[in-house]
Amino acid sequence: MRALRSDGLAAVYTRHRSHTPQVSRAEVLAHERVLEAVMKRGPVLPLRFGTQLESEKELEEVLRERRDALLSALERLRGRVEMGLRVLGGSDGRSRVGRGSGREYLLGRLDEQRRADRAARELHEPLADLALASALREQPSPPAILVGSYLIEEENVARFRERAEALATNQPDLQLFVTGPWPPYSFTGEEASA
Amino acid sequence: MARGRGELASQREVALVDLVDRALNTGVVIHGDITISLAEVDLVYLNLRLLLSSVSTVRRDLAEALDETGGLAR
Repeated sequence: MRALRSDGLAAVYTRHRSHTPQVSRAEVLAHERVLEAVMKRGPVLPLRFGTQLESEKELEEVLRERRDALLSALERLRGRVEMGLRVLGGSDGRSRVGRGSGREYLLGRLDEQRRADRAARELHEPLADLALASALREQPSPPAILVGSYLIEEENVARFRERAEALATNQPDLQLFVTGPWPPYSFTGEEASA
Repeated sequence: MARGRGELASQREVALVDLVDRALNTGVVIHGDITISLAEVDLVYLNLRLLLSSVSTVRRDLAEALDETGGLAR
């Protein structure tokens, strides 16, 4: 790993001759480990997995051109981490295809929508209230019915988890998973809406 | 990967899905062109069929891979 410094910013990267990043457990974990290591020393902005540039020169240009936006994004993230919530309980989406009548399909979809709305109200919203920012996936893929991301102060991780566990007790038919703390993948300022 | 009875996933599985989801769908984008390849057997989430929802190309490839293999034995 190398670091390129430019006027208050540093970019961490590796050089390859030619390389197509592979979405494997190993490579994704390596990506995550670098972020966690850098995060120990200060705020970090994750880049999209697989980002490649031609040269250090190009990287320098990016840092120069985007300096102000990157610096403010980093300051907003200082001392903050991301928590994830994944709520499972939906039916397997694939089993829906080709089964039953059109009416049954629509009723099934309506039912799923109700469950998703209820999860958003009873799970996402209380957790979003604890967070500085949050994001809710619009169409999670079954069996997930809700996928949320929450930016919180690092010292509130335990409190966030406790709140999620308490909320889970009201949802016996759902399986809740809290993940994180993560580097602030979902809160880099690139997202269209929170 | 220890799943309890009746559980749709284990904590470890979900954490990996969440990580792959974040790595592929979030983060600063420097330019629109990202080329990645899919590892055929190393993706726990194929087993769970927790497909990523906002990367349409990845979804299509995963759906095809699933159809071909009939789901991954793991």
